[in-house]
Amino acid sequence: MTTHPQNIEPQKTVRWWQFALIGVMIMMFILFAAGLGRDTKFIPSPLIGKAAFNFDLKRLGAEKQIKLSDYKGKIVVLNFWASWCVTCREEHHILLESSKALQPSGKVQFIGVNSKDTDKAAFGFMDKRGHFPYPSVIDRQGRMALEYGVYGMPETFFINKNGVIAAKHIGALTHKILADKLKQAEAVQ
Amino acid sequence: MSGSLIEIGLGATSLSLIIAVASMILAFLSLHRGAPSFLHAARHGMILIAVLTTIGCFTIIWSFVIKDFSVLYVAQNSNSQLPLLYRLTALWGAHEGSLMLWLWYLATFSAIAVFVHWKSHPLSMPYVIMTLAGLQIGFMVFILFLSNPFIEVHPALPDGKDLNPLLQDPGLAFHPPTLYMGYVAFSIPFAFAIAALARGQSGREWVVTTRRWTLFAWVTLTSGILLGGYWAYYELGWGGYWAWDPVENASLMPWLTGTAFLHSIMAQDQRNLFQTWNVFLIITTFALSLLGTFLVRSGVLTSVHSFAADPGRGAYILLFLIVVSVIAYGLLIWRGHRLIGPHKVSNLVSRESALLYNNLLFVAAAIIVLTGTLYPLAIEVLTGERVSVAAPYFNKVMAPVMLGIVLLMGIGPLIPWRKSSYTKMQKQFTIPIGLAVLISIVSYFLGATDIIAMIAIGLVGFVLASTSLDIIGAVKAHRQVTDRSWLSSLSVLAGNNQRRYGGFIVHLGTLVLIIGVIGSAFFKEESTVNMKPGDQVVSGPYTLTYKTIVPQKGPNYSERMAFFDWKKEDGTTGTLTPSKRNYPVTQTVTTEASILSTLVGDLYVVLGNEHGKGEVTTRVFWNPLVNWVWIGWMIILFGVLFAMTKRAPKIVSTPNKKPTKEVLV
Repeated sequence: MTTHPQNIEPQKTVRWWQFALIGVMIMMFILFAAGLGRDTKFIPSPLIGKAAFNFDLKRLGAEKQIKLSDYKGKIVVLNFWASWCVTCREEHHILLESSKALQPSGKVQFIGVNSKDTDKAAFGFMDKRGHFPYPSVIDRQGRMALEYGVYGMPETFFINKNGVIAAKHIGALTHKILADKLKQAEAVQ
Repeated sequence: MSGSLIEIGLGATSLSLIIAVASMILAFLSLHRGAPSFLHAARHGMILIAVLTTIGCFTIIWSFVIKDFSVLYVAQNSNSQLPLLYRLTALWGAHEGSLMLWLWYLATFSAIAVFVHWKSHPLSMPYVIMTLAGLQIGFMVFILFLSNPFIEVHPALPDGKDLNPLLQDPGLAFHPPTLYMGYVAFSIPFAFAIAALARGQSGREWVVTTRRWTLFAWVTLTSGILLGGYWAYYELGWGGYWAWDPVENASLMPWLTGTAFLHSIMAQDQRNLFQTWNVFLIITTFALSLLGTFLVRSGVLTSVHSFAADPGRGAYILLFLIVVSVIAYGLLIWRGHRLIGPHKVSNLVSRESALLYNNLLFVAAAIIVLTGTLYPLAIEVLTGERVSVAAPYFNKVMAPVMLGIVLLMGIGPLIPWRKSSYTKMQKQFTIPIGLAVLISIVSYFLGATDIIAMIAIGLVGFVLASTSLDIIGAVKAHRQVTDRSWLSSLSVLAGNNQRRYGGFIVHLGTLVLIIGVIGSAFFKEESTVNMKPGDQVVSGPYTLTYKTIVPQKGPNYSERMAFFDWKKEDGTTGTLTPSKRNYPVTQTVTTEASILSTLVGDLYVVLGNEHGKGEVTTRVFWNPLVNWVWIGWMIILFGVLFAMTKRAPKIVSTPNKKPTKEVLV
């Protein structure tokens, strides 16, 4: 129905917009690809550089209280976990391996915070995936998570020798992240 | 028992992937082998995929309904105490389900499009099916391998983590699905544009055929965006409805280019102009829809919409985006020249040149939003610093562009195609211009001291006046020949010309919406005060007295509710009860604004922190004319529905430029 001459092919010349379009497309893709690698969960926490909340909580599976101040002089790796937290399963073996490797030196102490969980579920989790070679404290109501401004499970705080929060990580740990954050905790006075 | 149900969903979705691949190959082969049975099989495939993905979605929804916490997605996004409505809408409460919904829309629209346009577009059909099946494959692979909502956990979890409390609101329950619907509906015109490009077919066929799809996509995207604003206004409690957040911007960009497209296809329909440009616009609109999904789901941008971000998923969506844009833009660059017709815009004052300016302004607006949205990302990639581009940039730069668009709204639809003359325009626009100037001056003395506000108010008056004069003129002329009453004359005119009058109604709705935006942007009052029981604060025409604060209990939350008495200047009184809710399962606190909503404006009260002895920080807003935004939206909806009643003229596929074998018999 259109009345164009159908047998005439318009002349093909390279136009400026074709170059512009290709250029813009490539630039955008580079920008997005570069943006992907970023740690988007990085939120400068107001707690970093502040004294860590000195908790005094019951130990999971034992009639014993645990205080943060008991570990003054050591770097404390405080890991919030729960049996219902799926990402915690990802970092579980990393916690097991690195705590076994690091704790014997006496410089680093790992502490778990079992948050908003039941003892039974927590033990079920550890029976299946391996028991932590370090104590966990019970935070049934999630009060402790609130004190530390925990944003999502798992979350790990690195507290230096003086009881000051030096670094934190949201999400599953890797060996590299753990090493980096520990370095930060060592560096801070 | 129920475990097997979700497995059926997984099975159905997996099967649909295989069928999509098969359909794509069959559609491709039908081009070369010329076997119509191949294309028929591909069509059946598209319809089967729609059925299978429906089953997939249904199994997830049903798992929410029966609280099956052995399904990981259900356990992560609902809770045994969550009300049924929100268990139903929890499908799109997080990443995995949102994408499933995306896929379901795509599969359903594809099936409808293939079914409806089958007879009239046999030559485009192989390309349309290939495009749509390709898009489906992209999403299916993503869903099945990277963000699977069908994963089970054994043993089942005792209870779920609950849905994000911010999503537990009727406004939000419908915001994401409407928005996605708009995004996905653009895939149909997109597929037809790709077919036109691949065939080198330059006529008006594809734009006429997909006009209703475009209108549908546009109106759902508009509604999705406005529903988001509505939700933000009533649920988020910061007193506004639009904040230039990156995720909001991500939805605005395809809206801007989509609106440009909606206008410029008229020029291709009526005058066979802008063929390549229209293809560019629809590709860009669809690519920006995908980009919106990418930005929201990859966590590349920092936004209040803090969805779980996952770089693996982000990398996949980026790859998908690259494949789609390279193919689509590549085709445009390679084949675009074949679309160019013999016609040109011949006169500077004509309907087509008004459409051209309209398009330039809309695309400029899209570029402004894109730049502002990506600037922080670029800075961070280049320097490692974190910056954010906030409302002041967008407001300043967008305001003049938007004013230009409003001005064109009052001129473009009223001047003829091809050529108008200055003397004619003088006659047509002298009265409206005079009126606009008068309204601006009056508004200044009524308190509109901001120059942008003054111009905006004047322009709204201008458009209303010029459009009314035009309609009155048409009705007068009609009455002279038919001797009908004014009203029946108008209804006959509108009934015979749904597209034009539907457009007028949409423009009227847009003006009402703009009035709401002007009122709430330029004339709002805001105060933050610490109040003790008995304290008073004045906001707009109201005096607010703080009474007391008390604890209350809801189904899955506890709250602190404050009581305020309000008294208007004219003596009417009432009570407002803002509250702060605590959801114990997710440990989230939300603020519930209390709003006295009238046509003149909203009195909006939100609670901040408590300081003991009943003292509480209170934010009080007076937001004039906010309701006009939502009323404008309703008028727009009506106008689009009215315009859509016009059936697309029956168009038979024009033959390909290069002779190819007839595919169908």
